[in-house]
Amino acid sequence: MTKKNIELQKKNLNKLKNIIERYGGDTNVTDTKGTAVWLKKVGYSSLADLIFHDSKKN
Amino acid sequence: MTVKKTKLPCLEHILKIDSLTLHFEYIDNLLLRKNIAIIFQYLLFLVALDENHSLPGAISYLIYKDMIIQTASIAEAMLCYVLAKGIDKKKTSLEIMDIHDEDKYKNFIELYEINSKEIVGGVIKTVKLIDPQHMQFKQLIRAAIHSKIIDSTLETELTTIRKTRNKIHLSTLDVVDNSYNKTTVIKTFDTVKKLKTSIISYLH
Repeated sequence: MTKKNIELQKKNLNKLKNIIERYGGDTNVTDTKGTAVWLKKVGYSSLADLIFHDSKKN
Repeated sequence: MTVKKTKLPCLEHILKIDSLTLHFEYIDNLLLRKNIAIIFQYLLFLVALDENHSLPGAISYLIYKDMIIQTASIAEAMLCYVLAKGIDKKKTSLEIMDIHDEDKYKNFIELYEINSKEIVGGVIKTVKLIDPQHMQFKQLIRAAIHSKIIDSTLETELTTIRKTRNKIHLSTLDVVDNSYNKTTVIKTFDTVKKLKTSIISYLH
């Protein structure tokens, strides 16, 4: 990736952050395991796997 | 008058974007990584909305539809990313992908006239290869097959997602379809999980 592309990415990431802030900010949930367990409980194991499954650890 | 907004109880399991972002480190484009995390956060919200509330049927149906559309957009973005990465790593090329615009013809030279409406002649045919960023979902799937990123089973499954996603065009629907339910959504997640596994193994 060129230096110009990295700069552009940084600029866009900041823009995105500002937009999220403007619309009310983010959640404060960081309990990944809790979310994975909840997804499995409500029948969405496939979504839990899609998000959290780390293929490199297979 | 300002209306005070309240936090929905169903937000309880909706992970912070930064926490979700950590799970997509195999994508080194930070903007794409964050955009994918944002869509996953939204998907978690849709699951919570559907699971925690008794909603009118049409709304539930549209929640499933939205989940498929959003998941399809992740699959599309992942395919585009892995193809571009494959070119960077010299594992594939535009020639291998072999996705091109409609053939164009130039420099028509008339040889002879059959009649006033038909002429026999010669032309130069030009083929312009398309780069992944300008490919449509269908072309990305074909390019991934040609580049040996996915196999034919995954190709079929991704095509099903693409076709289901394309039903967003209401005017083209002449039957009431039953494409959007929890089972279809779960199948869609399964397919994209397989795609994720294929991408990770291709890139490493």
